[in-house]
Amino acid sequence: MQPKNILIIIRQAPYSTLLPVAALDILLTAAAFEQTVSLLFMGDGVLHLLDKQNVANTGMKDISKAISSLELYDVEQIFYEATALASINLKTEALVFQAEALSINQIAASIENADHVFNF
Amino acid sequence: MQRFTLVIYAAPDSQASSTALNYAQALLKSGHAIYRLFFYQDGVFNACSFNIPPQDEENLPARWQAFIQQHNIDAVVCVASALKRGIVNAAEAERYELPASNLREGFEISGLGQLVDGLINSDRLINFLP
Repeated sequence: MQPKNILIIIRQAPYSTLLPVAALDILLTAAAFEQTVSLLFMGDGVLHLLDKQNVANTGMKDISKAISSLELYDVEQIFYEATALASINLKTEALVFQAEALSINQIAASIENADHVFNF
Repeated sequence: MQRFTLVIYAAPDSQASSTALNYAQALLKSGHAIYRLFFYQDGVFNACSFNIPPQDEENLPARWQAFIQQHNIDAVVCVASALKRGIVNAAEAERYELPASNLREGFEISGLGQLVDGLINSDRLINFLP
């Protein structure tokens, strides 16, 4: 069967809820089932990509480490909303992982091209 | 006719869970098919049999169960989410030496692979988030 094109969007800030963690679990499981997966950070979700996150006393795991290791699992399509990073005055140098910036039009196209979209 | 998989992330107290059930009922009424219901994260509380709601509140887990059994629908509860929240079937209760099991009949415990299988085999996958 032809692999499905799956787009997972994370819009929530890290550590606010467990949904971003669930999103990564779904992403890795879908990749293990040889589906074509891409990950897109929008809005507050771009904060996941920040380097040097300090999770001490949160009781949660450093999610940026999981994201920077996604390449090992054949998840190579990692994107973020360009304007979201700019709107909080962050430069790409602050990111733990050099994901690809997408314009709103490119995001619309990637949603259009996906067979399934998960929106967290 | 299209095949649907619904993923429920919301506990019974959340409007999202009751919307998911209404949606599922509307799907069947419209002639569509449900390939699978997948209960994930707090959604696993919909499969708990130990809930006693106040008399003037509806029992949403009981409504889910009735719907699943009436239409013989595949209803999967994520094992990691369930164990973490204390929802166990008889086998898990025995494995972890717990005093009781509380998974409603009609639901089964399985892994996240069942969500991805649902995604592969459905025309639409709809997420119900809290």
